[in-house]
Amino acid sequence: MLPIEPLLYLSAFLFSVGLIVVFTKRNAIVILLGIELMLNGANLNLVAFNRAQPELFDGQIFALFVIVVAVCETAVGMAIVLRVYHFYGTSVPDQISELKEKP
Amino acid sequence: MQHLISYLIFLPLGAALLGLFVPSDKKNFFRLLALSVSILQVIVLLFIFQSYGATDTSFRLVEKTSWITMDVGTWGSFKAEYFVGLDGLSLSLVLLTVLVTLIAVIASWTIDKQVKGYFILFLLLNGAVIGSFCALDLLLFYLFFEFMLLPMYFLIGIWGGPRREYASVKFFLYTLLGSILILVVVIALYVSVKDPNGTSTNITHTFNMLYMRDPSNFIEGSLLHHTSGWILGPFSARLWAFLLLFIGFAIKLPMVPLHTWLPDAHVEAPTPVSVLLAALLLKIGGYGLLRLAYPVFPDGAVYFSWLVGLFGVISIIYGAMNALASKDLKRLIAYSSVSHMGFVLLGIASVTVEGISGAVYQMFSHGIISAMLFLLAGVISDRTHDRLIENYSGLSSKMPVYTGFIIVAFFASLGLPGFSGFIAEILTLLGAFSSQGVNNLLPVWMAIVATSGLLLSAAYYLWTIQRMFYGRFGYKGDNTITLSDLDRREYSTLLPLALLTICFGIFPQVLLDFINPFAEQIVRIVLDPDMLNP
Amino acid sequence: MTETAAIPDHPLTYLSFAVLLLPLLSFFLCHVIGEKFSWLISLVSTALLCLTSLAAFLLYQGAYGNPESVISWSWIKTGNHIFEVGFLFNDQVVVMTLMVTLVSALVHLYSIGYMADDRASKKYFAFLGFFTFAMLGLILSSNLLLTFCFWELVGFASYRLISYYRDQSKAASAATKAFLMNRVGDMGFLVGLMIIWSATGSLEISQLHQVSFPLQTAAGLCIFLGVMGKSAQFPLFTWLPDAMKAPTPVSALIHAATMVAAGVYLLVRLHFLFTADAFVVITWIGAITALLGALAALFQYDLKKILAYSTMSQLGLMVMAMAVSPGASFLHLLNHAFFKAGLFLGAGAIIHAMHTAHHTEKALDVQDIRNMGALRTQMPVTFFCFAICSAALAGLPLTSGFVSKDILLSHLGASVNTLWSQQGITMIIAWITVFLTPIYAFRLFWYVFFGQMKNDLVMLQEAPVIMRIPMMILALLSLTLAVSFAPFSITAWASKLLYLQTFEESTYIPYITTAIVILALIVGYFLYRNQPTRSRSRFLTQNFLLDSFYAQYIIQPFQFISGFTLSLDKTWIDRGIHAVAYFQVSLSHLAGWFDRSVIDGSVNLMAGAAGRLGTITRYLAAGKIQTYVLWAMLGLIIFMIWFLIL
Repeated sequence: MLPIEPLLYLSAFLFSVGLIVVFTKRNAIVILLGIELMLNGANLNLVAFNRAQPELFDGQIFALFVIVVAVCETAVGMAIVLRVYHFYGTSVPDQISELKEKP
Repeated sequence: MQHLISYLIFLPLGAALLGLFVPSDKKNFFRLLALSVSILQVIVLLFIFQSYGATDTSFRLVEKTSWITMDVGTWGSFKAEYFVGLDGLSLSLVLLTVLVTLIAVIASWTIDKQVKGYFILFLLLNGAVIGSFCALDLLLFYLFFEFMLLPMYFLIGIWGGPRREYASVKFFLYTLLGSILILVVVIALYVSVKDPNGTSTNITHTFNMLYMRDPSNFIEGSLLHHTSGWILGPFSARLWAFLLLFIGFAIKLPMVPLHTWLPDAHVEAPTPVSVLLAALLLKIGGYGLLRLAYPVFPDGAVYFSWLVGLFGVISIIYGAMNALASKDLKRLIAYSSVSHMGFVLLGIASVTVEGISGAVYQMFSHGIISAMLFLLAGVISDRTHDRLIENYSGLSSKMPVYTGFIIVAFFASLGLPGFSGFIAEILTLLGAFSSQGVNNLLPVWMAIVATSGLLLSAAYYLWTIQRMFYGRFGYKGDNTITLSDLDRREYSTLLPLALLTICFGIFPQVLLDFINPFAEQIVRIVLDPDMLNP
Repeated sequence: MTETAAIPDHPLTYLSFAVLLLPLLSFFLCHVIGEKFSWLISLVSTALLCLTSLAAFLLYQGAYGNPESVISWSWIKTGNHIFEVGFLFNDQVVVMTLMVTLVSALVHLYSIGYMADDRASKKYFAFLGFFTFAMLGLILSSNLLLTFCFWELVGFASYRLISYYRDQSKAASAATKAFLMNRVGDMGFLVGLMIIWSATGSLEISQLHQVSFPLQTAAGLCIFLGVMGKSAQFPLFTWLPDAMKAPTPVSALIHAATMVAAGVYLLVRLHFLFTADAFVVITWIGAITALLGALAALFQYDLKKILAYSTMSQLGLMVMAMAVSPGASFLHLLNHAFFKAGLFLGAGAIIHAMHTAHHTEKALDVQDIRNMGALRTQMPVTFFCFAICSAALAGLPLTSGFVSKDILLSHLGASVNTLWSQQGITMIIAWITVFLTPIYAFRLFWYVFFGQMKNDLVMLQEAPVIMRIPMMILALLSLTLAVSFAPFSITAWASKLLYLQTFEESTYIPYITTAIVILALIVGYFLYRNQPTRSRSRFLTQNFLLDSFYAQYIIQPFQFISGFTLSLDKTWIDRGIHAVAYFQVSLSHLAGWFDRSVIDGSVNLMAGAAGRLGTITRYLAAGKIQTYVLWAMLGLIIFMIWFLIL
């Protein structure tokens, strides 16, 4: 068996990077990319744990589900971003702050 | 007939309530309402005299019903009764109240501003004064006592002269201070006195003033029991209680140096209100001393008698000196009231039958005479709104009837025989003088110095007559005002008072028959050795 | 305690009520009779007073010579004590009553003429009646308290009558002065009453005869203070000259015959009450008064004031003799009443005549004797009556004054043991007074009736008949026959009248007196025949500067003290109260500040803190989606760490 710790480290790294991208990027599409990264990191984690127990297929099957959900979610997300861009004229989430309390 | 006293008290109160519902533009209605209430009170009083019965010392026409009864758990029950009754002292003062109120109603006929409010307050005052003279339950007494202050405050403050707000606030707060001191003692008494009709396990406190006279009704170990060791400063609790009561009532009397509310209140008040103030409210002070302070705390009375007498003499002389220096006619009469009430204090302090009879008679007589004096001062001030004595001279040529009444009133006030004031003053002085021999409470010099009060009162009154009424006619003021003589209404207020003072000066026994049993009883209670050293 | 000794007849009670109340009826009627019948007033009151005299005469007939008796009723009952009112009859009482009613009736009669021009004389007659009532009450009363009551009422009537001329402010101030000085005396009287009452328990005169108690001298002196006020003794006499502002008949009645005599009368009545020590003081004061009065009369120019001082001097004589012989004083009191009233009525006639003749000249003082002269030709009847009465005053033989003065001097002389004792010196003063009296009497007489006729006096008319009659009656009563049958004898039937001590005939005194009087008259003639009008020192003409003494040392300090007490009231006492009030208000301001800043402040502080906290936490919801995600993640991570590791 290959040790799975490096895989776990990698997936954690990917997840964190995706999280940071979500927090700090100004463009909505890049935020979606970041979400994709987080999903990929989670996927890698799932597959790595599956590798530790080869007789069960849960990890791989779950990773497949995640990919499908990610695709759907990205499609919907893109559609929303496009509509928002159409309405507000910008894709920067910071500038879409109508719900913010006026100081 | 039953419940006569309650009729007397609640007739004006009920009429006041009735008057609230009548629209305020019907001025004559209120005047007639007050007048009819007064006349009805006179009739009730006649019935009272008829059923008064023998002249012994018990209370007559007593009504006693339970009023407030609250169960307060572990502290037993809080009980106050509606307990009223009359004896010689209160009968004289109730007679005075009814008569003077009738006269004051007639004198109030010309009040034109806010007539509804005026007469409703007037009726409230009437009921409250009679109530405080008749109440024998301490809480009821205190209630009526306080009740008198508020109508008076408004009467002075709304219908008065230029400085009326100052005068009314001063009057109200000053006398309220006295009332607070009295309240302290009321509470202390309540806590210390038990109802003798109760059982020994369930001690019910009581406000009943008659029970408080008997030292065996005091609860062992309570604050005002004889053996209570509670001492603050130089005096024990009982002496403090007497002192507080004394100061509270002395403010109303008024006694020098607690008297300065009186000149301002009198000068600023309208004429009928001055009449009520001088004739009635001042007497509550003396009444309170005789009804509450002296019988319940005889040890305090005896202990402080020298001081009380001293302040009486000081009041006589000081009031007279101030009257001598007054430039304003009403202020002069106000200070003369202070001086005459000093006689009351002196008589009370002497604790002799003559002294106390004299004090009560002086209260009655001064009520009538000062009513007359203030009405006379009002005659001039209503015409010209100018009360300065030096602005007038030679009034007797233009206003002869008025001058006649002034002579009667002034000479009655300075104690000329033939008027009631003389009887009062001679009894008081004889009582005070004999006190040294009889009960050794007052030294002889107090009566001798008080006699000089007679000289001083003659001085200021005669000087005023000389300045204002003799000589050539002149008025240094608005020359367009005609100084007309008394009109019929004023004449009808003054004539009965003059006749009354002459009548009670020539036939004093009419009233003394009632006062005597009371005076003897008080002397007996105060000087009873069992009471002083139980 | 009602003592009804054997009353001679029942009518006596009714008679005494009649005597007492008829003048009071006059008082009421005068007030009640309206404007239409005002001319009736003087007649009605005079008639009533004449009836009173008649009743008094009947009373005298009924009660004279009988032992003392009392009729009384209880008046004031207090405790164990009863004050009674009632009548007391003895010889002195009924004689005095007779005198008072007679003089009063004569004055009423006279006043009909004197006040005929005065339209508003209603009050005058009313108060004359009231005065008579009060005076009679004083005489007849059986209880000292009642006496005191009437004593003051007499003062009241005097006040009203002195101030009768309403528009003269000097009259009003004279009345005030009179009343106040009387009041000073009354205070003493009252204190004396109090002492007697507390020592003996009773004020009934009939019960006080045999008493003796520790403070008796003090009580006596206090009562004498009252006498001093009423009878114008030194130093309470300055009201009497000023009281001459009253109409002259009033002066005749009140200030000569009756009211001022009330004090002397009281001394006579209560003679048994005074101790020997008290009498020392009394005698001295009487002596000083007699001398000062005579001296002052010598230097006055006002007709009535001379008579006033003369009254004062004679009263002093009476008081002086009180210690040795009250009966002699009483006799002199009676005689003095008649001749002094006669003198005053004569003076009134003169003043009336001067007034009607000069009523256009306001500046002329009708009472100044320097403006008069040789009136004997103008007014013969007045002259004659005046002469007789003056002779009585001077003490010439053949007059009643002579008799009574001699009796008085005899008694005084009899009591003197050594010359330089107290009795001796007062005796000398009495003789000096007896010497001075004719001098001033002569002076007055000469100035008015003799001498040069002044310019306009030709127009003076004799007094109307109605005024002449009383004068003549009084002059008649001033002759010897009124009191004694023999001109030179002092054992007069009047002395038997008053149970006076009669001597063996030490008859040298009447002759000495006659000699002195004649000497005095001669001296007077030489001094005054040219009517010098030199002005005298202020000391002698202005009440011996007593008035300014009183004004400076009594009245001014009193006014100062009263002004001081008033300012004490206004500044110190009221300032104290205001200070309390201000303190109260400041305290409440303090409480208000405390309430606003501390209590409310802490509430506000908490609200502010909550707000600031909210502001901070608002950043959590700043409207940025990514911060929401951040905080959510952070929270989730912490949550997980807490659960999984801790």
